[in-house]
Amino acid sequence: MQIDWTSFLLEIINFLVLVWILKRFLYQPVLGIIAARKAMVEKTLSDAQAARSEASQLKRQYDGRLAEWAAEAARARAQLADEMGHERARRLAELDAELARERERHRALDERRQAAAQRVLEEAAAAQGAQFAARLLERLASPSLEVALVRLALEDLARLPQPQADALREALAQAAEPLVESAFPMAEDTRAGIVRALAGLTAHAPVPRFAVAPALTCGVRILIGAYVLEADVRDELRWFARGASE
Amino acid sequence: MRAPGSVLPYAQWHLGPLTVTGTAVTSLGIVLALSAVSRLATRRLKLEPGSWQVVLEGVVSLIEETIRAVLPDHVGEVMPLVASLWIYILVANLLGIVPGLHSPTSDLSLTAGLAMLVFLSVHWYGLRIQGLRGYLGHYLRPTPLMLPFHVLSELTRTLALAVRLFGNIMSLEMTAMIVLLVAGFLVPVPVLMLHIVEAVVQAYIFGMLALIYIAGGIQSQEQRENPQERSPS
Repeated sequence: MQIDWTSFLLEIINFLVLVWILKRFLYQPVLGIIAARKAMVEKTLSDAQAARSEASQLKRQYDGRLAEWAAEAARARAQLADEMGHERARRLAELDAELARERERHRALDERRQAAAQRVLEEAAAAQGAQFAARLLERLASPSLEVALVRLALEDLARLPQPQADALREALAQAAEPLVESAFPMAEDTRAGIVRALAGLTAHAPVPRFAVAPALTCGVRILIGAYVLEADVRDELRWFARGASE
Repeated sequence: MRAPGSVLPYAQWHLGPLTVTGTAVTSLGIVLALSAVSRLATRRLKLEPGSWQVVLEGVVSLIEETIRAVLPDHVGEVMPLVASLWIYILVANLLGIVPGLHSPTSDLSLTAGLAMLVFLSVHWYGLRIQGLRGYLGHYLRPTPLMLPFHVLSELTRTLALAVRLFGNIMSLEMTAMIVLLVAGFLVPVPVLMLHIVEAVVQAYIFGMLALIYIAGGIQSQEQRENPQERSPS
């Protein structure tokens, strides 16, 4: 067990050469490729980190925009609801006014229709009543009824209003001969009553002419100039029917 | 024939005044083989490694991490020497299980050469990194009285480094040979399996001790200057 110095020196040289060769051809290339891969991985990681941060920023922007849009939508909805409320109120008011006008129009129309219908009914009722009364009075027509009618006419003549009485007096003064017509031949006392009544209107009353008029049903008609005083059943019924319809 | 420094039969050649032993030839062959393998293995390295590249990178990364755990600030400077020690000694130790070959590490001349390299490397790295005063100063600490003990320690640990590797590998080969002579064919197989384990362990021990010696030479000054930055490993 002794040391061979040649082997000793050769071994040192050998090993130093091996160290250089392995460093040159093994350690450096392998460590270099590991470092390159690590750099690539770090670059990939940094790129991924950058992409993630960018994505996070985009997400924040997106969330912010979503929040803004949501707030804007809420404001728009509130504004729309407000406008709809105003519009609804306005249209409801317009509709109420329109309905009121329509109701008023319909009410007036109904009133007119009702008034017309009532008038028609009244006219029909008056006509029927007049017809009924005419038939009844035609059956009751008689000289005594005519005397009563003449009496009524003379009473009305005595209660004429002053203007009409003046007008009649003036017409009586200008008339040459008043005409007194009756349905039945008039009795003397009846004629005398008529003459007295006319004389009561004016001091110089002319003597009337008496005649029978078939057109009269039962009553008397006095013609003084342009004025006609009539107390006939048919005439009274006609006036009754006209007055009822009016 | 036995080579000087070897108890095993070994060839030797004479080239003029030089006597070239089989150990030197085998060592040269290992160097050539490792050079060729490393050149071929690293010829087509890719960023997306294949299976062979994964193994290669794993081995180199493992060595680097081991050195970084001991000397985190000087990995690039120390790694070529220590990693080459591991690889070279491992291959040299395992060469003994190849029929017809002997482990060159069973030759004291080789292990002494490697130990001498480690001895010189400790001082080389210490002087290079700490400077002359800083490095030589640690021999005087904690007291100048420790100088003889430091020097003795340097010599004895270098001697132990050489003899430990030589003794283990030589004894393994001798054991295998004796068992083969006594018991016959195939009986030394368990001894050879033990040889594999011992080859790995001895390579690791030699490289790790070299690393620790170098780290001790470097860190003795740095740890004194920055005691809070590094804790004893």
